[in-house]
Amino acid sequence: MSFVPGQPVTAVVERVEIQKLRQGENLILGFSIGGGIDQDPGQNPFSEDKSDKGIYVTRISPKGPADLAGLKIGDKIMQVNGWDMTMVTHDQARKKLTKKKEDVVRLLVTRKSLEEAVKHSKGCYPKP
Amino acid sequence: MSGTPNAEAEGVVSKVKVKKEIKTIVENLETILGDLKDVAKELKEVVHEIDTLTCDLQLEEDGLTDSSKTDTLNSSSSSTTTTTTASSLEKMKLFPEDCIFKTPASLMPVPINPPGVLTVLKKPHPPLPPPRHTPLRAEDHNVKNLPHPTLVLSGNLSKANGSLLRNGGVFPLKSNRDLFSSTPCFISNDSGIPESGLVPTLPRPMPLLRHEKNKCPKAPGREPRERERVRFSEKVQFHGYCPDCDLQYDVDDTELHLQAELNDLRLSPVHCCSSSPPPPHSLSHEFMLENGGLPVSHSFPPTGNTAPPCVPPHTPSLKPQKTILRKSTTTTV
Repeated sequence: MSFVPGQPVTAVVERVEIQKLRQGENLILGFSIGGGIDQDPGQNPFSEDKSDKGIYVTRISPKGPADLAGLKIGDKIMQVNGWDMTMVTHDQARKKLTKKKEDVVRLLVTRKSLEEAVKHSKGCYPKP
Repeated sequence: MSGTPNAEAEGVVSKVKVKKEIKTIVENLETILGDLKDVAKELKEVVHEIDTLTCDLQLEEDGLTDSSKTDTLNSSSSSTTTTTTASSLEKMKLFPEDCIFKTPASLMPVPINPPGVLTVLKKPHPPLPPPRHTPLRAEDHNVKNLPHPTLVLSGNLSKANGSLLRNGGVFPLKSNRDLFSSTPCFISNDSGIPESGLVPTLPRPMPLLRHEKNKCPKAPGREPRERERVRFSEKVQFHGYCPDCDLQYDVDDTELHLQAELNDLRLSPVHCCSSSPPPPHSLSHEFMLENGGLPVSHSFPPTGNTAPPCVPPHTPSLKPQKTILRKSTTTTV
């Protein structure tokens, strides 16, 4: 999942749609994020490339909206509702996720297992 | 014609002399460097202590943290941000460097030798009392003139030494091991300095007063704005002139990192102390925001040891890895 700055990024992504849950007067998604271009990427235990400053899912609340939607811990969030998450600060990411007026967030996430899955499926497929 | 061989011989002799002098200077500089490193170490310890001591203080006074929390509340979903930063040391107050630079220049009461010949003077002077205990006495010493600087270094050591060496100016020097306690030492920096004058100055308010009055009219205005930390790196090399081979060493400038990024952070000292077992009182209002879980302020999920970057003071030894960007924030949305 490493990329070269300036070069286009390609990744196998999964669409995850999370319905925000209302808890009192708050809308929660049920997961935690870490990372950001203003953060120290070396401390991210989920990233393959320790210089990856992307936004990662660091925790999923069990039975929370994110868990139910299929978000997994360690996922890297590429987009939120169309907004890019690969080159944002931590706070910018938070803001994109916590918009009051939106009660659903559509994420594009990527994880290593996705790529592997695609590779495997490609391998099995006999090329015409 | 007969004059020329003599002149040449003289030239050679003086060249050798100069080289010897340069060698002496270089040795002295190395001594100073070693002393400075010690000073830096001790300063680090001091800073750590300050951190822990002021950690609690900053809780209420710093309105930033409260506003940031309400900010997250307002921005819709409950997102709690917990930040652990490498240092909450942005509270260190700095003084404009011009104040620092002015005085030493005016204070070099040494004869200027013709360019090309460097003279190293060793100026003995009585040890000065630490300023923190005796602010008045510091005044008596005429702080404005900043008595008897033994050392003037620029933030970029290479630059300073280079410039000092190059204009053939004189460099008053005191080879005193005891730099830390008694001798006034200037450690100036391009981007500001924790303290100018005596090293160290622990309780900041005292020296602050002193400096405010005398040297730095800008200081009061500067305090709230700039909260930069200067970190000294282990790797400090000087710009040296090798007398033997006329080579010039490559310079690794002192890595004086600025934690300007800290200014972007909303939180620092609060979470510094709240990051190791999170004290309930500081995170009480986060408590209800969390999705049922406990707000734990730790980095990308704790790798067992949630040692906060705000290091408790019992680590006097310097860590090998000194990155400023030891920030790790997790936000629960």
